[in-house]
Amino acid sequence: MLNNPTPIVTCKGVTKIFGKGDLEVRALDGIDLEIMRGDFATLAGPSGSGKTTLLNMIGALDHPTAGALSFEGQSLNDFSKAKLSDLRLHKIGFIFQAYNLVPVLSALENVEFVLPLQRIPKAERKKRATQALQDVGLKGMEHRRPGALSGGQQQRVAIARALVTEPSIVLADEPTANLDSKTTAELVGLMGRLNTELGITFVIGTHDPCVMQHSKRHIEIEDGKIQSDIRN
Amino acid sequence: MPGVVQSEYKTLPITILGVDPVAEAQISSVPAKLVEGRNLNGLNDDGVVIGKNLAERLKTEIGRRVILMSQGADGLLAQQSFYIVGIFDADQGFEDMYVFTGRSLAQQYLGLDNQISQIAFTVPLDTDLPMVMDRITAAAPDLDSRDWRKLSLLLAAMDTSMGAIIYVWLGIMIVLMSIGIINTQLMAVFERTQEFGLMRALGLKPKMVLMLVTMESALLIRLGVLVAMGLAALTIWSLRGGIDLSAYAAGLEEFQQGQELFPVINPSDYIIFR
Ligand SMILES: Nc1ncnc2c1ncn2[C@@H]1O[C@H](COP(=O)(O)OP(=O)(O)OP(=O)(O)O)[C@@H](O)[C@H]1O
Ligand SMILES: [Mg+2]
Repeated sequence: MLNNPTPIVTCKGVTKIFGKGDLEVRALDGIDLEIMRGDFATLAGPSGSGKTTLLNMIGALDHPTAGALSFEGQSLNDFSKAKLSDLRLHKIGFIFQAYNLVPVLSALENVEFVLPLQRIPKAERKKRATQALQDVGLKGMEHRRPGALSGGQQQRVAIARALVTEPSIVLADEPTANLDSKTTAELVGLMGRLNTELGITFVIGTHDPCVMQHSKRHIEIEDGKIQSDIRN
Repeated sequence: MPGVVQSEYKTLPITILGVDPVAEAQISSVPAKLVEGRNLNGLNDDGVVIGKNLAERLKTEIGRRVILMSQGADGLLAQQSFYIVGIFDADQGFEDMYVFTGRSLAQQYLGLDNQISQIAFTVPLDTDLPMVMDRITAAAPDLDSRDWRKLSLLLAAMDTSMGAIIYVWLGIMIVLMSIGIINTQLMAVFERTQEFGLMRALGLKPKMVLMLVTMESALLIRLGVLVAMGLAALTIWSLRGGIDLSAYAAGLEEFQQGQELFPVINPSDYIIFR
């Protein structure tokens, strides 16, 4: 924890209801949560508890049914689609469980993908993407396509891609669910280093005890409600 | 001129044509189809050129004589013997129907003085036909002048309906192709919902994703059109010798239509695509 933490994301009474009438599912039920700059938080809970839904809210991929979300002090409720796209582009990095990469692009091209949208000059793009791949230990694999990389290597590319835009926060939804414990440990170690050395904020939805061990803050969620929120 | 031709063995009905061989060579395909002997060499040529099948039926050959008979200008029977100088090979119906001889000689034997019954003109494909017809009519107001559409109503009707049929075909083809292309495109897009979702999550605006898909499709279409134009040109080129329809269309020659189809492609056909 930093000395003078400022919140990146604030949730107030965030509720998400899917479906209508009898089919109504209350995926999130009045979530109050602050993610601070420099957090390395894990979000855990049984299947169907609302982890993915909450991460989607924080990442501005979905709108809450009720409640308020703000990002670096700005309320997201009155953001247009285009403005939300811009927010995601500049401030948020995503790592999903699977299907993180565009299959027809090489590792380097995948990492570079959004940089032109940030209006970063070509030479700079290449330099940054190469550096990011090196940071996640993929030096020499820049020109392989996702199909020619192992699951762990693909997730590393996804981390590099999430980091290359220099986001305020990286959201990862079960990033290690498809990986063995050794690869998981490597990947979590990598994210931990990026957090301590570069101060990048992570929120990781996970079932994996190995991931939880590394976390500095652990949030338990059940039936769309926060059960516990512990810093260690 | 309708008449009969008689050999030592047989008498058969035919049509006698007295022609100017020099002019005839420019408008008729018969001189080029000569397989034996020679073509007529002038207005006064007293030989005849007959069809191969007719020669076989008459059991005669080059160098032998045949007698042509028909009604002369005076209403009486005119007849004269001619040497066969050439044999041509067209389609059977045509071979059996026509016998060619020199024009002056035919006029003389039929007692026609200098009268002729028909002048034929061939004009280049891209000529403005009505304009030419106007000029011909103006030059010879007393004569009956007709273009090919009027001379051969059947052929003209065929030409018109063929045009219509081609458009109907084109229409059907375009509809079928569109269904195919739309289907392929939809598949391509639906298969990639995950990819598009990912791009949206990465911060691409919906417009940009749409633009990406549009650009991809445009590229594919352009490639497709180029390949198709190449293939079309290749097809036309490989058929440059003409498509031989004689197996299906014996008898077309009676409408003065050849049995070979020559596919032609206009460079302008390509231009719509640019
Ligand atoms: N698009 C949707 N439409 C309807 N219901 C949904 C939708 N997305 C999620 N839900 C429901 O919301 C609840 C929470 O789902 P969520 O995906 O957030 O769970 P989770 O904690 O991520 O589970 P898991 O650990 O299995 O990934 C579930 O009951 C789920 O069925
Ligand atoms: Mg989930």
